[in-house]
Amino acid sequence: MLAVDFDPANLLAQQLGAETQPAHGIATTDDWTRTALANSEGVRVVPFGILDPSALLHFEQQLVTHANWLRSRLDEAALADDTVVLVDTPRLPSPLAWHAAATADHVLTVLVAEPVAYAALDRLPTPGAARAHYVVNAFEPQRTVQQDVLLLLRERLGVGLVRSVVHRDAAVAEALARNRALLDDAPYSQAAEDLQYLCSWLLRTIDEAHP
Amino acid sequence: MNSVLRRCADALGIEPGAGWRTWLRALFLLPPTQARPLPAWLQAVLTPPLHWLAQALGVQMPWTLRNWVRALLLKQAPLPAADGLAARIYLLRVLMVVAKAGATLLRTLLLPLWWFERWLDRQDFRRADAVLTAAAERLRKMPRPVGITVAVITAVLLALCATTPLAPHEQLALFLLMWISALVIRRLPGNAATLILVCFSLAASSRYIWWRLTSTLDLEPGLEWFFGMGLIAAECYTWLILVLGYIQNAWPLGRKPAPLPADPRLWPTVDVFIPTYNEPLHVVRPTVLAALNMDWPADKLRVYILDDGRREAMREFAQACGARYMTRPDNAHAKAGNLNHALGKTDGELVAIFDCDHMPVRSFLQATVGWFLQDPKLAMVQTPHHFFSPDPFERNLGTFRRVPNEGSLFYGLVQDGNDLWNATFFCGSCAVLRRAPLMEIGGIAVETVTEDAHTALKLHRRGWNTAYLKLTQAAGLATESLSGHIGQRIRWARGMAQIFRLDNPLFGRGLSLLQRLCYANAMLHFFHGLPRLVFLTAPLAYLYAELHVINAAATTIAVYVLPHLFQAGIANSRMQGRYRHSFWAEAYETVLAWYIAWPTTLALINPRAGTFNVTAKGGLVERDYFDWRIALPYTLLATANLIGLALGIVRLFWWNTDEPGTVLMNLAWAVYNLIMLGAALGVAAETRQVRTAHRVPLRIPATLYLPDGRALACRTEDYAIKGLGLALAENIPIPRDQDLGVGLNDGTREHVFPARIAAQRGRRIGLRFAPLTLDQERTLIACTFGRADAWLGWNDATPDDRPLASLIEVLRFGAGAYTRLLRNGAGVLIDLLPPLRFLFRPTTV
Repeated sequence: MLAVDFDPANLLAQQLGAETQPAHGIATTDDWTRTALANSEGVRVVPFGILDPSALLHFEQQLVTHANWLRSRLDEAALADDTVVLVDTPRLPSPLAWHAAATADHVLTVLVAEPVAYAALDRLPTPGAARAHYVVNAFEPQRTVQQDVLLLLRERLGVGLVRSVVHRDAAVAEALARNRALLDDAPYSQAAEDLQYLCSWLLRTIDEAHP
Repeated sequence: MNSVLRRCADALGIEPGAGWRTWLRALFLLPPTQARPLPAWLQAVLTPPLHWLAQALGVQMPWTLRNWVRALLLKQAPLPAADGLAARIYLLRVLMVVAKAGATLLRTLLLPLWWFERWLDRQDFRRADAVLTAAAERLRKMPRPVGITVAVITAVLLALCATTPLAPHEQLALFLLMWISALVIRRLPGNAATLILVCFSLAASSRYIWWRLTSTLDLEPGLEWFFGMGLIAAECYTWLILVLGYIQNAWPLGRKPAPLPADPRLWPTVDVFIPTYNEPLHVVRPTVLAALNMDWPADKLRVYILDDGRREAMREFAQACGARYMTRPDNAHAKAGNLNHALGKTDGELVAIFDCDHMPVRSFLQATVGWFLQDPKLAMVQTPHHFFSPDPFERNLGTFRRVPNEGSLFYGLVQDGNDLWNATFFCGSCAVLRRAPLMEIGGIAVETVTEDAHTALKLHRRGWNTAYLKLTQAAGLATESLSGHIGQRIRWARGMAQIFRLDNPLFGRGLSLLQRLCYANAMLHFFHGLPRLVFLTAPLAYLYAELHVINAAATTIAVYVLPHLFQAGIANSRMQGRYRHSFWAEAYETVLAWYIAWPTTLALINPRAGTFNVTAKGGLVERDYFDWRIALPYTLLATANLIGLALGIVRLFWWNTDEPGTVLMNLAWAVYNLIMLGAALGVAAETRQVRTAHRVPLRIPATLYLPDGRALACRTEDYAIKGLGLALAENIPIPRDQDLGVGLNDGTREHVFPARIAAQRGRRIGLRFAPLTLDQERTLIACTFGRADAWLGWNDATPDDRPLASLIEVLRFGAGAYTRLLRNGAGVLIDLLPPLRFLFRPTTV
């Protein structure tokens, strides 16, 4: 398992336990495999690296012209055959997100059950070869609006929408503030349980698609 | 060989050609003429313990057996040298050694049987069972004459078995053969083994009743003749009920729900009737909301509250929740009249009827309506009545969910058995009826107080079919108080007796033979009061007045009656084991016997007398108390049997030493009566109810939303109308007095209900719901009582019948009840005799 931060915000390493923002990562250096960090749980994460705005613009243009940029980068690393690479992207319509989606075997789109998100559904990509999945995050069942949007999403997306949702839970923010993994900080929070479900769902889906 | 025999005979001092009895006796006892001293070593070994035992037990003259027996059975003043407590402990030890030796001997003797059973356990009988089931199915499809011929041949063979005369020892051999075979057959799975056991029981019981009728009724005219006839009448009744019961329950149909067409436009319209009279709104509310929650096209489902109480609050509630409200100008014919009035004002194709405290689950209509579309002649589908609170019997005996209650036999087995013969009854609630046939017979029957059974009878007479679906699709609260519970049973008994008189199912047109038998059994069953009272008093005739009500030697009676009781017990335990536990049902019937004996007799004489009572529900027994009004007849019967027991012991040793067998038989009978009466008294001791709301166990994931934005994953433990029990994964303190939310899933979406902490003990917390809006209340019902799986597997927790364990438990409860009776009796005496109170007050120092 390898987590790749493909978001210029460069926050994934910190969410996974790094104390400072790593300066170098997949976007800043060709020798990106050396920038990988591992946390106490053994999770390996490759940061994005810090790019100034003009460099970022250049990077994005490079992605547009080289459609295989991410794939060739990953090929360089000579990963084991059964490695699952999780790529975290900025929100759509960022070109980084488009690029990663075009490269991936599976695309998991994170939605919120708000009317705005529903309206934006039409603009979501239908990635070519990749399988599209959707999951609702920060769900608040107390709010009728969210319940209704969830029903609409279910109707619209069908089996593409993961059956269970990830609930809004203050424990997520609290764990981040303490720089601890959610599963250690609040193992019995609803969000932790939802994420665990999502994890096993994801692994099962990948297993079924690539036996 | 001969020389060995002779030498042995010489040694024992008997003739070599003597019978085995003499041999046996000589092995243990010395003939008086040949009194020889014991061998020195034996004397040395035996004398000290015997001497010491005699001392301990207080046997005055240890050389006669009689003194030993007397010392063991009767309490005597111990000899001055003996210490009472120590004596008892020694006695216990000795008894234990003897019992152990006996058990070892028995085990050795039964070893071959045990091996045989082990061998049986290794066999797979499922195939044989499948073959038999297929054969039964083939027989059912054959033309009628074949089935009739088979039935006639079986009946003739059984009659032959029953009437062949046998000498007592032959009868004993037959009994032993049947008993041992039955013990083995009992272990085989499937209905075939059950049917064999039923045949055994039929043969044994019919032999007994035939023998009683032909050889034991030669009684002296007068009192003996009178009591003897009473007893034989009661026994004939029991035999009849036994036989009818076997016919009724031989082959439960086990019907499954029929699927509905995929297109909901083809589904029929359904009117749901919820009649109420004086039940409070908080009882009716959940039922109406659950009915509205049922999965059915909204334009085809109409829920009516039929309010005979004409209450404004009920009308407002109906309006608010979307149910329809209906009243009528008069209250004629109570519930039946109420339903008939509504039938006249509505037009749905089907009618579902729920008592106002029976909450249906959401799948109720989807599960039941399918059969109406499959069978155009189907007039009614009945589902079980299920109670999630203990009825007074279960509460007072502490048997809730451990021992099946009265209803579980009826809804678990009897109705399913009836279904095979197309004789399922309507039970007044949790049922769907087709409107057209109902109108054809003039609506719900009003002639009797059990309108439901009578309605089904009328439908059957018109050639309509009924069906039973053993799938709990609704649940409610059981009657709270004992008097209410008994009142309800009295009503059923009286109603059934009324139908028996006014519209006897044995006669009249339209019914098949087996429908007649099923109905007859259902009605005759309620006449058990008088026969049971006869059995409870029968041994007293001998014990009090030395009347011989059965003209036969006690041993002969034993070889006939024991097979009858044993085989019936084994067959019933096998057939009904999951729905009725041996001896408990007897205890239940004993409680009811006194109370239904009179109403049924009265209804037989004048079927039109009497009124309709509404059973009160939702109350609370607030403290322990002893219901003297209900217990009184049983106290008297128990006292009578106790006196009989005392008299019997006197008879055994002094007055009737010439017929110890007869005395012992009557003593045993009186003891059995005392056990049953003890359990009946136990029922009368009302136990305090602790919780106001009955909790239903439920284990599903839930989410607890805290005010600070955290959400905790947890599981539900149980629920009630007003609250919810949760189990957290770890001990997290939850702030009190804060508004929380609890999220429950109804299968399609999550609903969050406002609640507050009522109690927290470690990981377990109790929540009390904040006032809910009507919509929230409705979704709460959908998440709890209305879940399609709410009552699934409820009865799986009840263990199977183990007759001996049942007997011991009944005995234990009986003993407890007697002590309570004594304590309460003392209390009552104290209350009755205030002048004597000073005796019980502590004296001031």
